[in-house]
Amino acid sequence: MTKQRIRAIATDSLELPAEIAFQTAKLVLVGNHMLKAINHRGILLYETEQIRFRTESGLVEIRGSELTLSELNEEYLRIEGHICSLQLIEAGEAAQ
Amino acid sequence: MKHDLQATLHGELQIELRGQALEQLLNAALTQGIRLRGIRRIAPDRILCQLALPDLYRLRPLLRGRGVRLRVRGRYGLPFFLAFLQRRPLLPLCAVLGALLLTFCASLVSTITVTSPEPLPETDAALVLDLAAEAGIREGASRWRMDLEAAEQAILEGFPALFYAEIFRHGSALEIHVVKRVDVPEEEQLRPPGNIVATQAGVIEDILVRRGTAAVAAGDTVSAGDILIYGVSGSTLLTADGIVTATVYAEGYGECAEQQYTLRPTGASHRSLSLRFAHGHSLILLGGAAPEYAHASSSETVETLQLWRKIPLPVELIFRETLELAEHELHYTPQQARRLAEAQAEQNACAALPQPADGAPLGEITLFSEVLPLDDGIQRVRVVAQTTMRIGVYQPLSEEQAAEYGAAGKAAQ
Repeated sequence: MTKQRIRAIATDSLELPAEIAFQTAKLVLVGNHMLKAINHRGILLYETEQIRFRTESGLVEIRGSELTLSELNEEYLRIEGHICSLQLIEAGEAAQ
Repeated sequence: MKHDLQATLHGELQIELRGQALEQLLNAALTQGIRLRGIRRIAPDRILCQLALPDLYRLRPLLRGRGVRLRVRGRYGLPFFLAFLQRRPLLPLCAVLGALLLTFCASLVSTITVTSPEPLPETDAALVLDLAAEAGIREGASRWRMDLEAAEQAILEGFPALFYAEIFRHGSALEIHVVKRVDVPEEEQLRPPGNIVATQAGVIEDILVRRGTAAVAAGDTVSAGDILIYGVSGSTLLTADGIVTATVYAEGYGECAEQQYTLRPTGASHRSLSLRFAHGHSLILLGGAAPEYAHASSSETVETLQLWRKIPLPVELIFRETLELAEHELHYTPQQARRLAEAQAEQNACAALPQPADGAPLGEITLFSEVLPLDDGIQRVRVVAQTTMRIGVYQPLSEEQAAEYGAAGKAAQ
Protein backbone atom coordinates (compact mmCIF):
# COMPACT_ATOMS: atom_id res chain seq x y z
CA MET A 1 0.00 0.00 0.00
CA THR A 2 1.56 3.25 -1.07
CA LYS A 3 2.07 6.26 1.16
CA GLN A 4 -0.43 8.20 -0.94
CA ARG A 5 -3.07 5.52 -0.50
CA ILE A 6 -2.59 5.42 3.29
CA ARG A 7 -2.94 9.19 3.44
CA ALA A 8 -6.18 9.03 1.39
CA ILE A 9 -7.69 6.42 3.73
CA ALA A 10 -6.70 8.44 6.79
CA THR A 11 -8.16 11.62 5.28
CA ASP A 12 -11.43 9.90 4.45
CA SER A 13 -11.80 8.32 7.86
CA LEU A 14 -10.92 11.53 9.73
CA GLU A 15 -12.98 13.65 7.30
CA LEU A 16 -10.12 16.09 6.86
CA PRO A 17 -10.31 18.70 4.08
CA ALA A 18 -8.25 17.60 1.06
CA GLU A 19 -6.51 20.95 0.68
CA ILE A 20 -5.05 20.49 4.17
CA ALA A 21 -4.20 16.81 3.93
CA PHE A 22 -2.83 16.70 0.38
CA GLN A 23 -1.94 20.37 -0.14
CA THR A 24 -4.34 20.22 -3.08
CA ALA A 25 -5.25 23.54 -4.61
CA LYS A 26 -8.66 24.95 -3.71
CA LEU A 27 -10.20 27.51 -6.02
CA VAL A 28 -13.14 29.65 -5.02
CA LEU A 29 -14.78 31.76 -7.72
CA VAL A 30 -16.93 34.57 -6.38
CA GLY A 31 -19.28 35.68 -9.15
CA ASN A 32 -17.15 36.75 -12.06
CA HIS A 33 -15.14 39.35 -10.22
CA MET A 34 -13.00 37.45 -7.73
CA LEU A 35 -11.05 34.21 -7.56
CA LYS A 36 -9.40 32.91 -4.41
CA ALA A 37 -6.81 30.18 -4.66
CA ILE A 38 -5.34 28.29 -1.73
CA ASN A 39 -2.17 26.20 -2.06
CA HIS A 40 -0.91 27.68 -5.30
CA ARG A 41 2.65 26.99 -6.39
CA GLY A 42 3.62 30.33 -7.91
CA ILE A 43 2.77 32.76 -10.68
CA LEU A 44 3.77 31.88 -14.21
CA LEU A 45 2.29 34.78 -16.08
CA TYR A 46 0.68 37.99 -15.00
CA GLU A 47 -0.93 40.38 -17.45
CA THR A 48 -4.03 42.52 -17.09
CA GLU A 49 -5.95 40.17 -19.39
CA GLN A 50 -4.44 36.85 -18.45
CA ILE A 51 -3.05 35.24 -15.33
CA ARG A 52 -1.53 31.80 -15.18
CA PHE A 53 -0.44 30.11 -11.98
CA ARG A 54 0.76 26.68 -11.01
CA THR A 55 -0.94 24.28 -8.61
CA GLU A 56 -0.23 20.74 -7.37
CA SER A 57 -2.40 19.24 -10.07
CA GLY A 58 -1.48 21.47 -13.01
CA LEU A 59 -1.91 24.99 -14.31
CA VAL A 60 -4.78 27.38 -13.89
CA GLU A 61 -5.35 29.98 -16.55
CA ILE A 62 -7.64 32.92 -16.01
CA ARG A 63 -8.71 35.26 -18.76
CA GLY A 64 -10.57 38.50 -18.37
CA SER A 65 -9.93 42.20 -18.15
CA GLU A 66 -8.44 44.56 -15.58
CA LEU A 67 -7.14 41.62 -13.60
CA THR A 68 -5.17 42.41 -10.46
CA LEU A 69 -3.43 40.25 -7.90
CA SER A 70 -5.09 41.77 -4.87
CA GLU A 71 -3.28 39.57 -2.42
CA LEU A 72 -0.37 37.25 -2.85
CA ASN A 73 1.53 35.22 -0.32
CA GLU A 74 3.03 31.77 -0.04
CA GLU A 75 -0.26 29.90 0.13
CA TYR A 76 -2.97 32.29 -0.76
CA LEU A 77 -3.74 34.19 -3.93
CA ARG A 78 -6.65 36.50 -4.65
CA ILE A 79 -7.43 37.76 -8.11
CA GLU A 80 -9.88 40.59 -8.75
CA GLY A 81 -11.21 42.02 -11.98
CA HIS A 82 -13.61 40.94 -14.67
CA ILE A 83 -13.12 37.20 -15.08
CA CYS A 84 -14.30 35.71 -18.40
CA SER A 85 -12.84 32.21 -18.35
CA LEU A 86 -11.12 29.78 -16.05
CA GLN A 87 -9.20 26.85 -17.44
CA LEU A 88 -7.51 23.99 -15.67
CA ILE A 89 -4.61 22.45 -17.56
CA GLU A 90 -3.30 19.16 -16.24
CA ALA A 91 0.40 18.67 -15.72
CA GLY A 92 0.79 16.42 -18.80
CA GLU A 93 -1.04 18.81 -21.12
CA ALA A 94 0.96 21.76 -19.83
CA ALA A 95 4.21 19.98 -20.67
CA GLN A 96 3.02 19.39 -24.25
CA MET B 1 -9.13 44.54 8.55
CA LYS B 2 -6.32 42.85 10.45
CA HIS B 3 -4.01 43.39 7.52
CA ASP B 4 -5.02 47.04 7.27
CA LEU B 5 -4.25 47.56 10.94
CA GLN B 6 -0.85 45.91 10.56
CA ALA B 7 -0.13 48.01 7.49
CA THR B 8 -1.05 51.16 9.40
CA LEU B 9 1.07 50.27 12.41
CA HIS B 10 4.15 48.97 10.58
CA GLY B 11 3.91 51.24 7.58
CA GLU B 12 3.19 50.35 3.98
CA LEU B 13 4.78 51.33 0.73
CA GLN B 14 3.46 51.46 -2.76
CA ILE B 15 6.27 50.45 -5.05
CA GLU B 16 6.77 50.28 -8.79
CA LEU B 17 8.81 47.38 -10.13
CA ARG B 18 10.29 47.79 -13.58
CA GLY B 19 12.04 45.09 -15.55
CA GLN B 20 11.62 41.83 -17.39
CA ALA B 21 10.27 38.52 -16.00
CA LEU B 22 8.59 40.16 -13.04
CA GLU B 23 6.66 36.94 -12.35
CA GLN B 24 9.93 35.28 -11.36
CA LEU B 25 10.56 38.09 -8.91
CA LEU B 26 7.06 37.65 -7.45
CA ASN B 27 7.64 33.92 -6.96
CA ALA B 28 11.02 34.58 -5.37
CA ALA B 29 9.34 37.05 -3.01
CA LEU B 30 6.76 34.40 -2.13
CA THR B 31 9.43 31.91 -1.19
CA GLN B 32 10.93 34.52 1.15
CA GLY B 33 7.54 34.94 2.83
CA ILE B 34 7.06 38.48 1.54
CA ARG B 35 3.42 39.45 1.37
CA LEU B 36 2.39 41.58 -1.57
CA ARG B 37 -0.94 43.29 -2.08
CA GLY B 38 -2.74 45.11 -4.84
CA ILE B 39 -0.46 43.93 -7.64
CA ARG B 40 -1.43 45.78 -10.77
CA ARG B 41 0.29 45.79 -14.12
CA ILE B 42 0.53 49.32 -15.48
CA ALA B 43 2.76 48.60 -18.46
CA PRO B 44 4.22 45.46 -20.09
CA ASP B 45 7.41 45.91 -18.06
CA ARG B 46 6.00 47.59 -14.95
CA ILE B 47 3.83 46.61 -12.03
CA LEU B 48 2.58 48.48 -8.99
CA CYS B 49 2.13 46.75 -5.67
CA GLN B 50 1.86 47.40 -1.97
CA LEU B 51 4.40 46.08 0.44
CA ALA B 52 4.86 46.20 4.21
CA LEU B 53 7.75 48.46 5.18
CA PRO B 54 9.81 45.72 6.93
CA ASP B 55 9.55 43.54 3.80
CA LEU B 56 11.29 46.18 1.70
CA TYR B 57 14.66 45.24 3.19
CA ARG B 58 14.05 41.57 2.34
CA LEU B 59 12.92 42.40 -1.19
CA ARG B 60 15.95 44.47 -2.15
CA PRO B 61 18.44 41.52 -2.31
CA LEU B 62 16.04 39.73 -4.69
CA LEU B 63 16.19 42.59 -7.16
CA ARG B 64 19.91 42.29 -7.63
CA GLY B 65 20.88 40.22 -10.61
CA ARG B 66 17.38 40.30 -12.13
CA GLY B 67 17.66 43.73 -13.69
CA VAL B 68 14.54 44.91 -11.87
CA ARG B 69 14.40 48.49 -10.65
CA LEU B 70 12.34 49.53 -7.66
CA ARG B 71 10.79 52.93 -7.15
CA VAL B 72 8.76 53.96 -4.13
CA ARG B 73 5.56 55.69 -5.25
CA GLY B 74 3.78 56.18 -1.91
CA ARG B 75 4.27 55.86 1.84
CA TYR B 76 1.46 55.19 4.29
CA GLY B 77 1.12 54.34 7.96
CA LEU B 78 2.21 55.37 11.40
CA PRO B 79 6.04 55.32 10.97
CA PHE B 80 5.81 57.82 8.12
CA PHE B 81 3.35 59.99 10.01
CA LEU B 82 5.65 60.04 13.05
CA ALA B 83 8.58 60.93 10.84
CA PHE B 84 6.49 63.73 9.34
CA LEU B 85 5.67 65.04 12.82
CA GLN B 86 9.34 64.86 13.83
CA ARG B 87 10.20 67.12 10.94
CA ARG B 88 7.46 69.58 12.02
CA PRO B 89 7.36 69.57 15.83
CA LEU B 90 5.17 72.67 16.01
CA LEU B 91 2.36 71.13 13.96
CA PRO B 92 0.88 68.90 16.70
CA LEU B 93 1.21 71.74 19.16
CA CYS B 94 -0.68 74.08 16.82
CA ALA B 95 -3.35 71.42 16.24
CA VAL B 96 -3.90 71.01 19.97
CA LEU B 97 -3.98 74.78 20.47
CA GLY B 98 -6.44 75.13 17.57
CA ALA B 99 -8.72 72.48 19.05
CA LEU B 100 -8.58 74.20 22.44
CA LEU B 101 -9.35 77.55 20.84
CA LEU B 102 -12.33 76.08 18.99
CA THR B 103 -13.60 74.47 22.20
CA PHE B 104 -13.22 77.78 24.03
CA CYS B 105 -15.05 79.71 21.27
CA ALA B 106 -17.83 77.13 21.23
CA SER B 107 -18.29 77.55 24.97
CA LEU B 108 -19.19 81.24 24.55
CA VAL B 109 -22.62 82.57 23.73
CA SER B 110 -22.58 83.72 20.11
CA THR B 111 -26.04 85.26 19.68
CA ILE B 112 -29.10 85.93 21.78
CA THR B 113 -32.49 86.31 20.14
CA VAL B 114 -35.82 87.24 21.69
CA THR B 115 -38.85 85.46 20.27
CA SER B 116 -42.54 85.73 21.01
CA PRO B 117 -45.71 84.20 19.54
CA GLU B 118 -47.00 87.72 18.85
CA PRO B 119 -44.84 90.39 17.21
CA LEU B 120 -42.79 92.03 19.97
CA PRO B 121 -41.93 95.76 19.77
CA GLU B 122 -38.19 96.49 19.50
CA THR B 123 -38.22 98.42 22.76
CA ASP B 124 -39.65 95.41 24.60
CA ALA B 125 -37.06 93.09 23.03
CA ALA B 126 -34.30 95.51 24.02
CA LEU B 127 -35.64 95.61 27.58
CA VAL B 128 -35.66 91.80 27.74
CA LEU B 129 -32.05 91.71 26.49
CA ASP B 130 -31.01 94.33 29.06
CA LEU B 131 -32.62 92.34 31.88
CA ALA B 132 -30.94 89.18 30.61
CA ALA B 133 -27.57 90.97 30.49
CA GLU B 134 -28.03 92.09 34.10
CA ALA B 135 -28.61 88.44 34.99
CA GLY B 136 -25.38 87.43 33.23
CA ILE B 137 -26.87 86.32 29.91
CA ARG B 138 -24.95 88.31 27.33
CA GLU B 139 -23.11 87.62 24.11
CA GLY B 140 -19.57 86.44 24.76
CA ALA B 141 -20.35 85.05 28.23
CA SER B 142 -19.48 81.46 29.05
CA ARG B 143 -22.36 79.10 28.42
CA TRP B 144 -21.46 76.82 31.30
CA ARG B 145 -21.55 79.46 34.03
CA MET B 146 -25.05 80.72 33.29
CA ASP B 147 -27.97 80.23 35.64
CA LEU B 148 -30.81 80.20 33.16
CA GLU B 149 -33.58 79.72 35.72
CA ALA B 150 -32.42 82.73 37.74
CA ALA B 151 -32.22 84.78 34.54
CA GLU B 152 -35.77 83.78 33.55
CA GLN B 153 -37.01 84.83 37.00
CA ALA B 154 -35.12 88.14 36.74
CA ILE B 155 -36.69 88.86 33.33
CA LEU B 156 -40.20 88.15 34.64
CA GLU B 157 -39.68 90.32 37.71
CA GLY B 158 -38.08 93.16 35.78
CA PHE B 159 -40.74 93.22 33.05
CA PRO B 160 -44.16 92.82 34.68
CA ALA B 161 -45.95 92.92 31.33
CA LEU B 162 -44.51 89.49 30.60
CA PHE B 163 -46.54 86.44 31.42
CA TYR B 164 -43.93 83.80 30.53
CA ALA B 165 -40.18 83.70 29.85
CA GLU B 166 -37.95 80.75 29.05
CA ILE B 167 -34.41 80.54 27.74
CA PHE B 168 -33.48 77.81 25.26
CA ARG B 169 -29.98 76.77 24.24
CA HIS B 170 -29.34 76.02 20.56
CA GLY B 171 -25.63 75.20 20.50
CA SER B 172 -23.83 78.46 21.17
CA ALA B 173 -26.97 80.52 20.44
CA LEU B 174 -29.56 81.38 23.06
CA GLU B 175 -33.24 82.03 22.47
CA ILE B 176 -35.28 83.95 25.03
CA HIS B 177 -38.90 83.07 24.44
CA VAL B 178 -41.34 85.48 26.07
CA VAL B 179 -45.10 85.86 26.07
CA LYS B 180 -46.77 89.17 26.96
CA ARG B 181 -49.90 89.41 29.02
CA VAL B 182 -53.03 90.01 26.97
CA ASP B 183 -55.21 92.72 28.37
CA VAL B 184 -58.92 92.22 27.82
CA PRO B 185 -60.26 95.06 25.68
CA GLU B 186 -62.90 97.29 27.27
CA GLU B 187 -65.62 96.25 24.83
CA GLU B 188 -65.01 92.62 25.79
CA GLN B 189 -65.14 93.47 29.50
CA LEU B 190 -68.62 94.94 29.00
CA ARG B 191 -69.94 91.84 27.28
CA PRO B 192 -72.71 89.93 29.04
CA PRO B 193 -72.05 86.32 30.11
CA GLY B 194 -71.64 84.03 27.12
CA ASN B 195 -70.08 80.90 25.68
CA ILE B 196 -67.41 80.36 23.08
CA VAL B 197 -68.94 78.38 20.23
CA ALA B 198 -67.51 76.78 17.09
CA THR B 199 -67.90 78.65 13.83
CA GLN B 200 -67.30 75.50 11.80
CA ALA B 201 -66.86 71.77 12.10
CA GLY B 202 -63.42 70.36 12.82
CA VAL B 203 -61.20 68.32 15.10
CA ILE B 204 -59.93 70.18 18.17
CA GLU B 205 -56.16 70.56 18.18
CA ASP B 206 -55.63 72.78 21.20
CA ILE B 207 -57.75 74.65 23.70
CA LEU B 208 -56.57 77.47 25.97
CA VAL B 209 -59.21 78.65 28.45
CA ARG B 210 -58.77 82.18 29.79
CA ARG B 211 -62.18 82.40 31.43
CA GLY B 212 -64.90 79.80 31.78
CA THR B 213 -64.96 76.01 31.68
CA ALA B 214 -63.71 73.91 28.79
CA ALA B 215 -66.46 71.92 27.08
CA VAL B 216 -64.20 70.00 24.70
CA ALA B 217 -60.72 68.55 24.72
CA ALA B 218 -58.01 68.04 22.10
CA GLY B 219 -59.02 65.32 19.67
CA ASP B 220 -62.78 65.93 19.97
CA THR B 221 -64.83 66.39 16.83
CA VAL B 222 -67.14 69.41 16.87
CA SER B 223 -69.79 70.79 14.54
CA ALA B 224 -70.59 74.41 13.81
CA GLY B 225 -72.47 75.92 16.76
CA ASP B 226 -71.16 73.46 19.37
CA ILE B 227 -70.14 75.02 22.69
CA LEU B 228 -66.37 74.97 23.17
CA ILE B 229 -66.02 76.94 26.43
CA TYR B 230 -68.92 77.37 28.86
CA GLY B 231 -69.44 80.86 30.24
CA VAL B 232 -69.75 79.59 33.77
CA SER B 233 -67.38 78.83 36.61
CA GLY B 234 -69.03 77.05 39.53
CA SER B 235 -72.33 78.91 39.88
CA THR B 236 -70.94 82.22 38.54
CA LEU B 237 -71.92 83.22 35.05
CA LEU B 238 -69.15 84.98 33.14
CA THR B 239 -67.98 85.92 29.69
CA ALA B 240 -66.09 82.92 28.41
CA ASP B 241 -62.77 83.66 26.75
CA GLY B 242 -60.06 81.49 25.24
CA ILE B 243 -58.37 80.26 22.11
CA VAL B 244 -59.62 77.09 20.46
CA THR B 245 -57.61 75.78 17.54
CA ALA B 246 -59.00 73.03 15.32
CA THR B 247 -58.14 71.16 12.18
CA VAL B 248 -60.76 71.87 9.54
CA TYR B 249 -61.31 70.13 6.25
CA ALA B 250 -62.85 71.09 2.92
CA GLU B 251 -63.41 69.03 -0.17
CA GLY B 252 -62.98 70.07 -3.77
CA TYR B 253 -63.81 68.25 -6.98
CA GLY B 254 -62.33 68.71 -10.43
CA GLU B 255 -62.62 66.97 -13.75
CA CYS B 256 -61.12 67.28 -17.17
CA ALA B 257 -62.06 65.44 -20.36
CA GLU B 258 -59.19 64.02 -22.39
CA GLN B 259 -60.92 65.24 -25.56
CA GLN B 260 -62.47 68.71 -25.53
CA TYR B 261 -63.96 71.10 -28.06
CA THR B 262 -63.45 74.83 -27.75
CA LEU B 263 -64.23 77.83 -29.94
CA ARG B 264 -61.34 79.97 -31.10
CA PRO B 265 -61.32 83.14 -33.25
CA THR B 266 -60.40 82.48 -36.87
CA GLY B 267 -59.22 86.07 -37.38
CA ALA B 268 -62.19 87.06 -39.60
CA SER B 269 -64.29 89.88 -38.15
CA HIS B 270 -66.94 92.37 -39.10
CA ARG B 271 -67.50 95.89 -37.74
CA SER B 272 -70.55 98.04 -38.20
CA LEU B 273 -71.86 101.40 -37.08
CA SER B 274 -75.60 101.97 -36.75
CA LEU B 275 -78.10 104.39 -35.34
CA ARG B 276 -80.88 103.19 -33.04
CA PHE B 277 -83.94 105.34 -32.59
CA ALA B 278 -86.12 105.63 -29.53
CA HIS B 279 -88.89 103.46 -30.96
CA GLY B 280 -86.48 100.53 -31.52
CA HIS B 281 -85.72 100.83 -35.21
CA SER B 282 -82.14 100.96 -36.25
CA LEU B 283 -80.31 102.21 -39.30
CA ILE B 284 -76.97 100.82 -40.38
CA LEU B 285 -74.64 103.64 -41.34
CA LEU B 286 -71.38 101.77 -42.04
CA GLY B 287 -70.30 98.15 -42.53
CA GLY B 288 -73.59 96.64 -43.62
CA ALA B 289 -75.24 93.60 -42.08
CA ALA B 290 -72.99 91.09 -40.31
CA PRO B 291 -72.24 87.90 -42.30
CA GLU B 292 -73.79 84.73 -40.96
CA TYR B 293 -70.93 82.94 -39.23
CA ALA B 294 -71.50 79.41 -37.93
CA HIS B 295 -70.01 80.43 -34.59
CA ALA B 296 -69.44 84.01 -33.61
CA SER B 297 -69.05 86.32 -30.67
CA SER B 298 -70.06 89.93 -30.84
CA SER B 299 -69.51 92.97 -28.69
CA GLU B 300 -71.52 96.17 -28.73
CA THR B 301 -70.63 99.68 -27.59
CA VAL B 302 -73.52 102.10 -27.22
CA GLU B 303 -72.91 105.86 -27.27
CA THR B 304 -75.77 108.11 -26.22
CA LEU B 305 -75.82 111.33 -28.18
CA GLN B 306 -76.42 114.59 -26.37
CA LEU B 307 -77.56 117.80 -27.90
CA TRP B 308 -76.25 120.08 -25.23
CA ARG B 309 -75.33 119.47 -21.65
CA LYS B 310 -77.99 117.12 -20.19
CA ILE B 311 -80.41 117.18 -23.08
CA PRO B 312 -80.13 113.76 -24.77
CA LEU B 313 -81.07 113.05 -28.37
CA PRO B 314 -83.54 110.18 -28.92
CA VAL B 315 -80.94 108.21 -30.91
CA GLU B 316 -77.98 106.05 -29.95
CA LEU B 317 -74.79 105.26 -31.88
CA ILE B 318 -74.00 101.54 -31.82
CA PHE B 319 -70.56 100.15 -32.67
CA ARG B 320 -70.80 96.40 -33.15
CA GLU B 321 -67.88 94.02 -33.70
CA THR B 322 -68.47 90.40 -34.65
CA LEU B 323 -65.65 87.83 -34.51
CA GLU B 324 -65.88 84.56 -36.37
CA LEU B 325 -65.17 81.48 -34.23
CA ALA B 326 -64.30 77.96 -35.26
CA GLU B 327 -64.42 74.70 -33.38
CA HIS B 328 -61.08 73.52 -32.14
CA GLU B 329 -60.44 70.07 -30.79
CA LEU B 330 -58.15 69.68 -27.79
CA HIS B 331 -56.48 66.39 -26.88
CA TYR B 332 -54.92 65.82 -23.48
CA THR B 333 -52.92 62.81 -22.42
CA PRO B 334 -54.41 61.04 -19.37
CA GLN B 335 -51.60 62.52 -17.24
CA GLN B 336 -52.24 66.07 -18.50
CA ALA B 337 -55.99 65.71 -17.98
CA ARG B 338 -55.41 64.36 -14.47
CA ARG B 339 -53.09 67.26 -13.61
CA LEU B 340 -55.66 69.78 -14.86
CA ALA B 341 -58.44 68.06 -12.93
CA GLU B 342 -56.26 67.97 -9.83
CA ALA B 343 -55.41 71.67 -10.13
CA GLN B 344 -59.09 72.50 -10.48
CA ALA B 345 -59.99 70.30 -7.50
CA GLU B 346 -57.23 71.89 -5.38
CA GLN B 347 -58.47 75.35 -6.24
CA ASN B 348 -62.04 74.40 -5.33
CA ALA B 349 -60.95 72.76 -2.07
CA CYS B 350 -58.89 75.80 -1.01
CA ALA B 351 -61.78 78.11 -1.89
CA ALA B 352 -64.14 75.96 0.16
CA LEU B 353 -62.02 76.28 3.32
CA PRO B 354 -63.77 78.47 5.89
CA GLN B 355 -62.20 81.69 7.14
CA PRO B 356 -60.77 81.75 10.69
CA ALA B 357 -63.04 83.11 13.42
CA ASP B 358 -60.63 85.88 14.41
CA GLY B 359 -59.79 86.95 10.87
CA ALA B 360 -56.23 85.63 11.16
CA PRO B 361 -54.63 84.25 7.99
CA LEU B 362 -55.07 80.56 7.27
CA GLY B 363 -52.38 78.19 8.47
CA GLU B 364 -50.44 75.82 6.26
CA ILE B 365 -52.80 73.95 3.94
CA THR B 366 -52.20 70.25 3.35
CA LEU B 367 -53.84 68.66 0.33
CA PHE B 368 -54.78 65.01 -0.12
CA SER B 369 -55.88 63.95 -3.58
CA GLU B 370 -57.81 60.93 -4.66
CA VAL B 371 -58.14 59.94 -8.29
CA LEU B 372 -61.63 58.66 -8.98
CA PRO B 373 -62.36 55.91 -11.51
CA LEU B 374 -62.13 56.97 -15.16
CA ASP B 375 -65.47 57.78 -16.69
CA ASP B 376 -65.82 58.03 -20.50
CA GLY B 377 -62.39 59.62 -20.94
CA ILE B 378 -62.99 62.13 -18.15
CA GLN B 379 -60.33 62.34 -15.46
CA ARG B 380 -61.94 63.05 -12.10
CA VAL B 381 -60.07 64.02 -8.96
CA ARG B 382 -61.25 64.74 -5.45
CA VAL B 383 -59.00 66.78 -3.16
CA VAL B 384 -59.35 67.26 0.57
CA ALA B 385 -57.70 70.39 1.99
CA GLN B 386 -56.71 70.42 5.64
CA THR B 387 -55.58 73.35 7.77
CA THR B 388 -55.62 74.53 11.36
CA MET B 389 -57.39 77.69 12.49
CA ARG B 390 -59.10 79.31 15.44
CA ILE B 391 -62.77 78.40 15.39
CA GLY B 392 -64.12 79.85 18.65
CA VAL B 393 -66.34 82.95 18.73
CA TYR B 394 -68.23 84.60 21.55
CA GLN B 395 -72.01 84.02 21.80
CA PRO B 396 -74.10 85.53 24.63
CA LEU B 397 -75.98 83.14 26.89
CA SER B 398 -79.65 82.64 26.18
CA GLU B 399 -82.05 82.95 29.09
CA GLU B 400 -82.52 79.15 29.18
CA GLN B 401 -78.78 78.58 29.26
CA ALA B 402 -78.29 81.15 32.03
CA ALA B 403 -81.01 79.47 34.12
CA GLU B 404 -79.62 75.99 33.43
CA TYR B 405 -76.01 76.96 34.34
CA GLY B 406 -77.16 78.73 37.48
CA ALA B 407 -79.22 75.73 38.63
CA ALA B 408 -76.41 73.28 37.84
CA GLY B 409 -73.91 75.39 39.79
CA LYS B 410 -76.15 75.56 42.85
CA ALA B 411 -76.79 71.79 42.69
CA ALA B 412 -73.06 71.13 42.57
CA GLN B 413 -72.54 73.29 45.68
